[in-house]
Amino acid sequence: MKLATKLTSVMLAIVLVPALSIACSSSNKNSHETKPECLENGDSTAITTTELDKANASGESIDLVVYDAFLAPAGAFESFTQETGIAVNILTTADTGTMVSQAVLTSGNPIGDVMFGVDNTFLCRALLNKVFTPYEPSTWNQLDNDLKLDQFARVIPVDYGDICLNYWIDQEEIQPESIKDLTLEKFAGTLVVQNPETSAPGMGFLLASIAIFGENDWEQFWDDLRKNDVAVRSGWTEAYYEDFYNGERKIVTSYATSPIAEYIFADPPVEKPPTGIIEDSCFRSIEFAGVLRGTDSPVASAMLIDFLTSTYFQELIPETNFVLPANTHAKLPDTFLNFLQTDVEPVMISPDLIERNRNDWTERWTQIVLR
Amino acid sequence: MPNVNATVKKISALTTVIAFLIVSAFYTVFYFYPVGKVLNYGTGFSTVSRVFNSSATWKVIWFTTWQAIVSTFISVIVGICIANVFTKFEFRGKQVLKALAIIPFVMPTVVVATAFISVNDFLHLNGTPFSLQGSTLGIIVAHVFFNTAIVIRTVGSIWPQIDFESEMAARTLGANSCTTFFRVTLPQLKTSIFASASLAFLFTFTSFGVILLLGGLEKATLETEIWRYATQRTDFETAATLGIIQLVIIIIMLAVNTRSRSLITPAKKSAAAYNRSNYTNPRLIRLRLTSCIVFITGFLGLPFAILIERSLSASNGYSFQYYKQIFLESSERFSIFGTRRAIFNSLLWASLAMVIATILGLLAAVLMTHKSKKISRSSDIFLLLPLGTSGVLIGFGIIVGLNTSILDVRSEWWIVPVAQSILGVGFVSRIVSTAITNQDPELKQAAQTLGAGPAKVWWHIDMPIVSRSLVAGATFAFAIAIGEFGATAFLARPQRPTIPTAVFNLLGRPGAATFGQAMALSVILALITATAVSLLERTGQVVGNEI
Repeated sequence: MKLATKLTSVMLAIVLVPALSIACSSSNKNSHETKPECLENGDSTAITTTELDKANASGESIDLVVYDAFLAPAGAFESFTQETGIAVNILTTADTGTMVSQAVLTSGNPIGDVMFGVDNTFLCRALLNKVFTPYEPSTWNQLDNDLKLDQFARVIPVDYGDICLNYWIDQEEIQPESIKDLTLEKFAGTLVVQNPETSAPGMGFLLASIAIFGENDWEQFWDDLRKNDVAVRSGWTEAYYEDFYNGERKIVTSYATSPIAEYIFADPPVEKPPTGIIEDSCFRSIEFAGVLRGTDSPVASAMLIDFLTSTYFQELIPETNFVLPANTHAKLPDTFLNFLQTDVEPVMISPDLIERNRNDWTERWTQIVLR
Repeated sequence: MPNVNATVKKISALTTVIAFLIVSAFYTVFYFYPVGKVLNYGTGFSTVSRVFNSSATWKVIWFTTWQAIVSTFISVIVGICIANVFTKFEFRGKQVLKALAIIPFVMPTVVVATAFISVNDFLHLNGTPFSLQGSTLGIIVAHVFFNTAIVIRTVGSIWPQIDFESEMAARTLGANSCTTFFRVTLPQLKTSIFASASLAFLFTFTSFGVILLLGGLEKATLETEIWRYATQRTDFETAATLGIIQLVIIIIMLAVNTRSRSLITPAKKSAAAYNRSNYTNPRLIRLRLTSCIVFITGFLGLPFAILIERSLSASNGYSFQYYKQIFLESSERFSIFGTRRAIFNSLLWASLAMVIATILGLLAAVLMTHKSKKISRSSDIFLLLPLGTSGVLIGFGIIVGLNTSILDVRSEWWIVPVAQSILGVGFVSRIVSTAITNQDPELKQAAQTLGAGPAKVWWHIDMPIVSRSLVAGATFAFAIAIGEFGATAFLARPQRPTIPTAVFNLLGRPGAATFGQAMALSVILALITATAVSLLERTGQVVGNEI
């Protein structure tokens, strides 16, 4: 045993000596305790573009980093390439959280040039770690002011949507009318949600419940949901298609636009959407794009931001990704005008507050619902 | 010729200095500095107290430990049974079977995980109590699959050398076969069993690909939690603290392993030719033989067979559809699925990692076999540590450590082969130095007596031994690099996938086509690895007991 102890101490010394020398030399440690003031100071210099710069960017090739669920509208990026001479390579990563983490790990030496899909729940995490370079697009004044959460234009709103509970409309059964109904016995075994740790809608619904029931009562709500046999899936696809779509579960966390998708893709065609949303269960989600700090092609990247917020692109995304355009000049497709429920009053929580409490909330949620 | 001797001495001293400088520079930059940076991140008082106060942490530590213990225990039992059959019986096809039993040991974790996923799919086990996905059962089965081979290799190489006369004496004196095994045979095998068990524990404790692919979200170990905290939660402090916990446990395990290794003294070959079949009931022999063959072909072979079957099973019967899709790469814009590029990258990077590992491993072996005990002993320990560090920790360390304004390597493509070679250096140096130390000193003395100069001695005696072990080490380094997943998961950028990262990404996507492609890609990875290993087998080196 003597030899083993000796070896252990020698090895520990080998590891600890360089570690301590690093510890003594560096003092800027990230700390959990400091209050994130991510929206209050933008310190890096913004990208500016001239017509000459834009002409010179022709022939460059840039990488657009997106989360895994993003669908590129057919032909959209090809027309950008035709117009500008800039080739766009789409880099599909994973869910939004993983994508943002990767951006943080590679901050300043990014994996791509432009990132699309950072939402308001991850916004502060990205901004605090200086992932983006500010750029005010030519479309800035056309964008909905309520969506411009970052006044320094490090991130630019591209689209928004509401995360809401969806249910199958069935004339014979009793329909849920409020989020508060879910804990009633008659809705036992009908709800499927996603794990907030791995899924954006899952996180959205957890945040909605926190905003609706308050810091003191949201845990009780989930405790009751668990007693009412709530099902949890890791992602939206599993919950929607494996549990909700076949009717095994009658209520699911999805989007306010999902009923429109059900209408468009219904086979045989239907007169109106077969699903509805519970209006008081919604959380407003905003998706942003930004130029990644450290890009080699700032001008080409800036031009892509212009393109993503242009009325051309903005009018394409509703029917491919089922989100609403951030550009107020963009016209909505007829299906949206006819069937989008407009009387929804979604809740919002400030990105600062989400960033500060995210890990704590998900940890508590995990303990209540999964353990 | 005093002049020549002086020159030789000078050259060898110079070689030692150069070897020391290169090896220590490499390890300082790519191992000790990054790992030190992780320690720096993870030792903040508030983080450490938060991590240790969380019940989730203890749950993870507990699960990591107990699955490793159970996996190791089963591997040892099964491994001893098979090693016993290999030692005691001569039968047709034994060599083939022996080679087959070793293969899982060198198979990339991603291949083993997908093999069991394919078994799950083939037998429709999902939802049943025997489901291998998202269950502890799947993890343990896959770990036993891997580590049985280590036990067979290590114990199987010692067993034929133990003293059979005492065994026979015991039997003659009336002890039954059970008593003989436990009182006479087992004590002689104890050290080799201990060595292989601690190695198996090490592998299962830091297992990444198997847990990630078979365990799913619910089954978390320290290794997957480090990865999850770093890449999904952006909580580097917690990730680093978990990394330190893991490292400390590994260091203790390595110390135990080193101690038991030093206790294994090569036993003298038993003088009496061992009469293999005379003293046991022939029917019992047949039973043991059959069960052993059935186990090896069934448990160790079947998952691969089903993996191949699944990779060929398309919607319209059996075809090479998925293989074609891999090489066509129709969705060029979605480079995360760049399967053709992944194969190219994997081959290129593993080859580079092999070259780095071979050169540095040789230099390290020079240090490890140095005449001075101080140099050889300390470099031995120095090089053992990276061998036990998990890939995830190395990858995490590099990405948070080597991002300074002086040296930012995160976007360099070559950082991937460098990280993949860190493990390889340890293996190459160990295999080469063992070969050098174990050579017969009389051979050298005889050559010198007969008038051969130092250069001639080196060329005719040292060189062949070194080069043979170097080939074995290099092949092994290649196999490790091409299957490396933990560090690669951190360092390979989405534009530049490797086969393991591509398989992981494909499996994360629903759909029959992506599933089939993942299976086909795994088969290709298995084939590349098997080819490399068969080359290794041909050089006639035994790898298991040098580790």
